[in-house]
Amino acid sequence: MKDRSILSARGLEVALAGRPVIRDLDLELGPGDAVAVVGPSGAGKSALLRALVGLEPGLAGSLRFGGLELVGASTEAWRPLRRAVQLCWQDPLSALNPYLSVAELIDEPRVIHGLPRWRVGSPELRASLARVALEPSIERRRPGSLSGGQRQRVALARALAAEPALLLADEITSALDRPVAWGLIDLLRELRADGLGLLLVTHDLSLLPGTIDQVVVLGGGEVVERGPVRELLAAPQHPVSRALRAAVPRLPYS
Amino acid sequence: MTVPSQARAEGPARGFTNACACAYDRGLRVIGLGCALNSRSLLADVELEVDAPLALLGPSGAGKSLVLRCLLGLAPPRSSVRGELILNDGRRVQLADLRAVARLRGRGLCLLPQEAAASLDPVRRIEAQLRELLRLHANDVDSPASLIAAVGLAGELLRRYPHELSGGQAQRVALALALACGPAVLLADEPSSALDNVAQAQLLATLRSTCAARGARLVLVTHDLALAACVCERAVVLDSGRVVEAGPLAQLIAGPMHPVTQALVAAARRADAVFVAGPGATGPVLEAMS
Repeated sequence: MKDRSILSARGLEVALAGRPVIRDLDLELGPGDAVAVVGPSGAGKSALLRALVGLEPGLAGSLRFGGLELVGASTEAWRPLRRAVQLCWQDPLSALNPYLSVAELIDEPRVIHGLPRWRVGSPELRASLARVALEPSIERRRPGSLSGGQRQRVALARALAAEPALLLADEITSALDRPVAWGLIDLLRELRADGLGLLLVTHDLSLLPGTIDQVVVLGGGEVVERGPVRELLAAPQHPVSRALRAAVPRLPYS
Repeated sequence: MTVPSQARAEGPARGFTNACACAYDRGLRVIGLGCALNSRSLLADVELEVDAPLALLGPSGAGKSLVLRCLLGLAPPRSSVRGELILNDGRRVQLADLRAVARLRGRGLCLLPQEAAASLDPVRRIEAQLRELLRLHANDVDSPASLIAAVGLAGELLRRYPHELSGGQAQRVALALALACGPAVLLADEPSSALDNVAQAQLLATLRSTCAARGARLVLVTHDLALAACVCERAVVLDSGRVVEAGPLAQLIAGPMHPVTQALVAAARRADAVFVAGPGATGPVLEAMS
């Protein structure tokens, strides 16, 4: 089991301005794994994701990528992770450069990571758009002229262009209407079937069944409960997990 | 987050006494609402009957927020608005008559915006902002303390500035500000979309109970059918600026006719799978709050 893990955190602590926001976190992610980190606002979900891609300096404990320790390591040591672990942000409009076309946005990570380029009209670029269910005609448009769902798909295509082993998704459906959100969740499930590891951060438990295997519940910066999604949804134990499940809007009259 | 049926049916428990509100006491109708910009039609033939709590549903870009803006006289510049409001006393107000519409703003129709943080004055304390609205709208029934208590916040928050509030607190303060106007109709534009599920359930429980207690009619804009069904009784479904279906929510959920409604129902049913997983904790937050 240990050999196959891509990213592995043991007793990880994340501090913001000297104040710990994540304490004693264990997390193991391998190819094709699908893990969700859930919790209410302020539980430390986004801080955790930023820490996992090296955007938070205040780390303690252990974080290993491909067997190499990253806590306390030089910036240079993070470089392989920066390509292999891609983060998809909550708000695609602020994550995408408004001056670049869709083609340029997707090609940019290829340039940054020294991969063969995908230029406008190339079959590779078209294939990358098709992979996230976008029309090829979209490649010359800019983020401002796209719908929220299209933007989030472009952000996903951009993350995938770096050919990552792991995808971290931070509330990527929260700005989308429900039918569009389901389309995106289905897409994540297909990507995962292709061997991509997936870490989904959300406060919406209803997104998990069918897509996610393991759930980690964060409350106040600590893991308060964890387990297989089916068990956790059937019988949540901790008050935070119970509140999250009870707060899913339930369809009456059915 | 299911709602007990008797709570659903309960009407205004305590009328909010002011002359203007009485004019809407048994609701408000909107007929023939249309909006066009540069000869492109954005809304056409939208009819609303605001009696019971009403949900305005539809996918992103359907025109839900634009309907609210037209009702408030805040349609985009250079757009042309048609249609009229019929108040309960029989008075008719043309929506194109921006002066007449502006007179209804506040005490008549009031907006609870999607992004509370952006609607609060960042350099003034919450108390000062509430006090200003109470004075402007001649509301001598309420006080800052009574309003902040009505939305379920501690009185000490009155001393704070907007940046010292969490997202859920800011949205409750926005609700308190809307209530300070003593509105007859509260137009809530996806008020919980920036909140996590737990804060969302709590806010909507407060929204529903305060509207009922003050006799304010609620129009809730949302794209989440399950959410709408927890708060509202009737719904109007919009797509591409037109009403594609309308009726009691129970009926829409049981037998959606239009593809857009069908997609909304299917999406909500899929989310329901979370409850099929087992009995577990079903103590709905909304029920606990109300």
